Amino acid sequence: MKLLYDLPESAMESVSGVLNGESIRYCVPADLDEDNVFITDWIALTETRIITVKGGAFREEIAVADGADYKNVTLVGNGILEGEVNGVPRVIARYSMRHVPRYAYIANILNVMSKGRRPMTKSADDEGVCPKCERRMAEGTLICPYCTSKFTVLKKLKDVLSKHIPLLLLAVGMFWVITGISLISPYITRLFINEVLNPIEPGMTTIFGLERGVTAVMAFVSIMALLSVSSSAIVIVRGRIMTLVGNRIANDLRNVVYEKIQALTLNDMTKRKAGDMMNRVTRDTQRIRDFISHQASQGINMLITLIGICVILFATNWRLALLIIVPIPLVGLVIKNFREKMWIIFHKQWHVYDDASNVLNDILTGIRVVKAFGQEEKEIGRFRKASEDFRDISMSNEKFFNTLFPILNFFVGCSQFLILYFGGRMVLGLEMNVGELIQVMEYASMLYAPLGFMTMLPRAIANAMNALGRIYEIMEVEPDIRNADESVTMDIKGKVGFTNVTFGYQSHEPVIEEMDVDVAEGEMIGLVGHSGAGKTTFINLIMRLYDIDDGSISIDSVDLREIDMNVLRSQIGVVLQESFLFSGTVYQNIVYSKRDATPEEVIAAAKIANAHDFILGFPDGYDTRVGENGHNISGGERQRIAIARAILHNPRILILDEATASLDIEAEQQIQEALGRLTKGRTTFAIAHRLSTLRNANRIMVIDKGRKAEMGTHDELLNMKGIYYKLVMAQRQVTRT
Amino acid sequence: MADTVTGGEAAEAAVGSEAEVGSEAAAKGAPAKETLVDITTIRYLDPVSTAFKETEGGFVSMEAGPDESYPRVNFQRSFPFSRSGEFISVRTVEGKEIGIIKKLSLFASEAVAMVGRQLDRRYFSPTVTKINSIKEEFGYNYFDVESSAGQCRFTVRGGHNVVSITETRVLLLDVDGNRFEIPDINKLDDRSLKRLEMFL
Ligand SMILES: Nc1ncnc2c1ncn2[C@@H]1O[C@H](COP(=O)(O)OP(=O)(O)O)[C@@H](O)[C@H]1O
Ligand SMILES: [Mg+2]
Repeated sequence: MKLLYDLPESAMESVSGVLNGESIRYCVPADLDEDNVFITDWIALTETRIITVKGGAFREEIAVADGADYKNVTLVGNGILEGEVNGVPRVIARYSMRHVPRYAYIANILNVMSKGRRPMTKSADDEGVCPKCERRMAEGTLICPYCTSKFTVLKKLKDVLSKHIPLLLLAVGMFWVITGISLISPYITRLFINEVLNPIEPGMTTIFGLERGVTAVMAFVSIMALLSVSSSAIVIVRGRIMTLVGNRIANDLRNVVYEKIQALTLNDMTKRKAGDMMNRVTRDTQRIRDFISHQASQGINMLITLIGICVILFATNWRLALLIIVPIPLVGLVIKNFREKMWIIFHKQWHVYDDASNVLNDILTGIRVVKAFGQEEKEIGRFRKASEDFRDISMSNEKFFNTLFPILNFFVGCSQFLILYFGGRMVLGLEMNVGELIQVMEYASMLYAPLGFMTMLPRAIANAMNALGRIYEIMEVEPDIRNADESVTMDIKGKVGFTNVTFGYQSHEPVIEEMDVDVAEGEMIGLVGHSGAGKTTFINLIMRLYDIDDGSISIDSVDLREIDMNVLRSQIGVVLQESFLFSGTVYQNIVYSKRDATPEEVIAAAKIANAHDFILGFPDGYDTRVGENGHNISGGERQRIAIARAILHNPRILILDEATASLDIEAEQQIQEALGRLTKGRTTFAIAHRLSTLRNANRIMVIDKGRKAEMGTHDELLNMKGIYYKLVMAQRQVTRT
Repeated sequence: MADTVTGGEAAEAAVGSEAEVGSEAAAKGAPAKETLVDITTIRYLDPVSTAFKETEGGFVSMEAGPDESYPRVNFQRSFPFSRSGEFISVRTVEGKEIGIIKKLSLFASEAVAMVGRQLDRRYFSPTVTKINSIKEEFGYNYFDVESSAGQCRFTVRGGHNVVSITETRVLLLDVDGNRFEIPDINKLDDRSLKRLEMFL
């Protein structure tokens, strides 16, 4: 985080008068004033003072030691630095959200200073800001989208493309052949007219060694037919090849994106909408496939044809060629003018489409809620509205394109009339013969298609580029959590230590604060606290779903960040409140954690989890399909399958996050039993609202507002008469009534 | 369960208040059929007996009765968009709700101004008056706008951070968490509106 900005020269001059031999150790912008206007003020910290710069000049100084309790308060759309100066709470600076994390550091630094210590925090480059254009980038991206050209994206996809080079080359070769054939046929037409039909020198009786007359006509016609047939054949083969390549590339891309999504952590995932991700995997790759197998291949073809025609036309008759070229810049001009409009049109369509699919996604994933509240009608209405919007937008877009392109085609077509007029005069003036004119006409009409196509190309490219960009964006996301360069592989025994751990999902708002915990191998710790206190966050940190901001977490005295992540997670087992079953059989769901498990092991695990009996109760036993579209099983059964999964996994550290919270008493008791067996000898962290669930725990930790409030055995905590005591009493009351 | 305790706290906090809707209704011998409002205890602050004062450091203190005073309170809107002048929650610095201002305009004019200033500070979202350009690259939209707070450039990620609050009112959320508001898109000039159009 950059904490030492350079003051502008004039401000520096004004401030240097009051420095009195001190130096500026930290200096950050304060960019918002009390009247809600952006400004460029500054807050500078010297060894002992806060110096404020307002309107480019020194304004005020505060002795840091006169103040206490400095804090960055995040409001809505802005933040303030406040502190109690000489016992009076006051605002010291106000700033936009961009600087909020900066001021979180500054507040910390001030508190350290006010206690007479020397702050150790160092200024560094800002993260998440493009070094080139200084624009903010979203978290997790390393490359500034603003400064990245589309070309870089293509380069990035080079790997994907390079695998298909041979096929692509083959296809390009075919393009040349096809173009060659189509370019040669007007020439043959000319020969046919000039040489075969219209003998220039009556004395000649043969042409190219053929007898004039019917034989020559026959020969020419067959050659033309042959060319046409073979070119059609090649076109078909080429089409197949391009489709193949397109499909393969799309498939590769899909895999790349999919793998990437798998590699991303929960944190990365929650920042993006699931529906959005799905779209990228399916629709965007599809778009790219279509682009490669249709527009791109056509495009290459057309481009080659265009160049070929131009060369031949100029070689045949440069004056007529010029006439043909004249309207082209005109077309270019029109396209250029409409580009922005076309771009907007596409985005709109895309957004509306996204909306519609998100609505559908919502409805489908929340179908139970929808039905439970009898809202089907309303939801259908919502979806209908969204898809009608999409229809309207698509229609109006089509209308736009259907007007634009005929107009463009008319421009191109105009040249035909010009050629006829001037060419006709040349033929009459004997500057040119009929065959030549017809050849030119034929070439000119061949220009039609490529030009018309080129007018469509920008939209096709824009479309594909967008899709590509969205995929690229995913590929560029760096997972938040990475393995250390030299990560340790080890067998975990189960000692867990937290030293002064501070963590916040947004680093300036700590959710876990200064937590010190030592858990011995095999110990069971019950975690208690109000909802939102940070219990789940605490265990997320043990699993290293997030990296901490300060302090350290260790397992068997090895820093968590040095342990290989796969090793770590393979030795931690988790049962959550709502266990997720994959679509598949019960058996597959249990062996998920240990692919090479034997059926005996699976049954043993199910037995320990109290799941064996109800599984056998299903007609299909362990082969019963569960999960989406599967056999409907109850919450308790689901939990027990999840526990069996965890048992089979045989983890050294077990985490139970309200594993039994959603169950009825009887089911809970059965699961309790199972859990009792499971937790024996393993380090266990169990979060529970029903405190009775925690009676097996060796120690209980009460988390309150992210801090360790109380920790000890059940009896110790009761005697303390603190939060835990209150909780226990409250629950007893509830049970009694 | 933890929820029970939370409820207990709320009940404690309400002790000693004079404007409890729930208890008032109960005292008047409300009909047997209780409504949702009857069974909750929310304290609505009385416009007459509640006094606000600006503190030296630029905050506000509150006196809610003869022996109930708070050296500093914070204000939070319950409905920042739909009812910005109503249902304003008054909280201690620790974040505990003291009571709710049901309708700010019923309070004394100095109080209205004072609370208004605090709210203005808390809810900062400059009004966009003109959109100079929007450039889109890979799902990021780079805005360059004129606003009530001055000219500014910011980055909005994806289309879903352009939020339509009503048919005509739009909120832009940038990647840092800053907010920019367009109170009425139809009041924008044509060019600005056109630039924004693709998000609507
Ligand atoms: N992924 C997240 N991103 C941002 N904030 C979060 C996230 N998960 C939880 N929080 C916040 O962290 C705090 C603690 O949450 P949590 O650990 O889930 O509490 P508990 O499990 O004790 O109920 C809450 O204020 C919650 O809003
Ligand atoms: Mg939780």
